[in-house]
Amino acid sequence: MNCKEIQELILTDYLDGEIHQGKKGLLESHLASCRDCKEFFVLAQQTTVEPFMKAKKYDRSRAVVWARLQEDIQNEKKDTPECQQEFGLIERWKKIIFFPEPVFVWGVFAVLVVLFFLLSASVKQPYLVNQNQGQDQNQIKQEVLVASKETADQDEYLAYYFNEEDTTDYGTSVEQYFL
Amino acid sequence: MTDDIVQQAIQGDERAFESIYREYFGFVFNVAFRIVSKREEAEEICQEVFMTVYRKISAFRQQSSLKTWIYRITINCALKYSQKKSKQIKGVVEYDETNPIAAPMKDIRDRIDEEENEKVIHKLLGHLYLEQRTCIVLRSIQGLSYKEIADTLRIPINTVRSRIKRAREAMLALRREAAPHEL
Ligand SMILES: [Zn+2]
Repeated sequence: MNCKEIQELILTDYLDGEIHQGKKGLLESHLASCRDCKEFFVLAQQTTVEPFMKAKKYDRSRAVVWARLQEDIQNEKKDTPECQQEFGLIERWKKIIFFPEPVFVWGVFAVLVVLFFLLSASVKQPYLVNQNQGQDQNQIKQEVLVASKETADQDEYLAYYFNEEDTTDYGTSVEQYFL
Repeated sequence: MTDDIVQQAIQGDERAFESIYREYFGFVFNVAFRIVSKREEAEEICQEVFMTVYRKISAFRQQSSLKTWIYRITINCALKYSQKKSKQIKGVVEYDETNPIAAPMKDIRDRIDEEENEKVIHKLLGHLYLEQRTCIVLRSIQGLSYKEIADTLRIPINTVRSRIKRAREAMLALRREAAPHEL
């Protein structure tokens, strides 16, 4: 190995104790006979390694951060949907108000169907009946549409909270910074 | 950190989570601090890292070790944070004098030396590119091996080696151009 190769090895594997035994022997015998490389080693060690070895380890923020975490965790628990928690009074009311909506729409639908049959049986003017029928059907269609949309929204909402398993891979985004 | 504690944490045990916090706070905070140089910012990163651990641990599959996983989240958060910051303000971060931990028992001269050394570290790290700085922090301050750094950053060992080499060359160049008493 020449001096350039020796110095490259010093800057990495030798300073970091990652050098193989065989190479280490070769390198150290070179250092024993080459003043330039020996000086380079001492300077590199003093300048690029020693300050970091004496670096302070900070611990003062340990309690502060822990307290903030506790707060975050409590807040997050409050935000989880009611289906994962005991029902409180407010949640119960929400449930009562929220869930019967589709039931209500289906009820209206049923009443309209009954009304339609009653009307078509009793009213004797066919032209008017047909008109009414058309209107009713349009209304029914719209209401069924609204009802199914609401259930879909609700399903999506629940699926979102139940499907908490997130397999975000931190490696890939780290790579972005380095590639 | 036993496998039992990791298992308990995966199942949502909060005391197990606290054990993880106790074990890894030092690493997470100190790495974050050396990357962003400000205590308040390091605290924010730390908070974000452990909230991520709290939220995601149920999905942690133990393909890598918990240690590597947490290390990776830490680096990810710290880099994201410092990139966001560097877009907001340009220039070198001032050395934060309010940072050092109280060490009342220490000899005053030791404390001055320690302060001086902290300034040297700040200057050296501030001179490096973010990816070099990350490798130096993990290697020379946290004592990770090349293999551990490679696993944490998901890069080849030779890339770790070349970043460390270039980082040290840059530090030596800085030393040569600055008067010795300044460094
Ligand atoms: Zn030589």
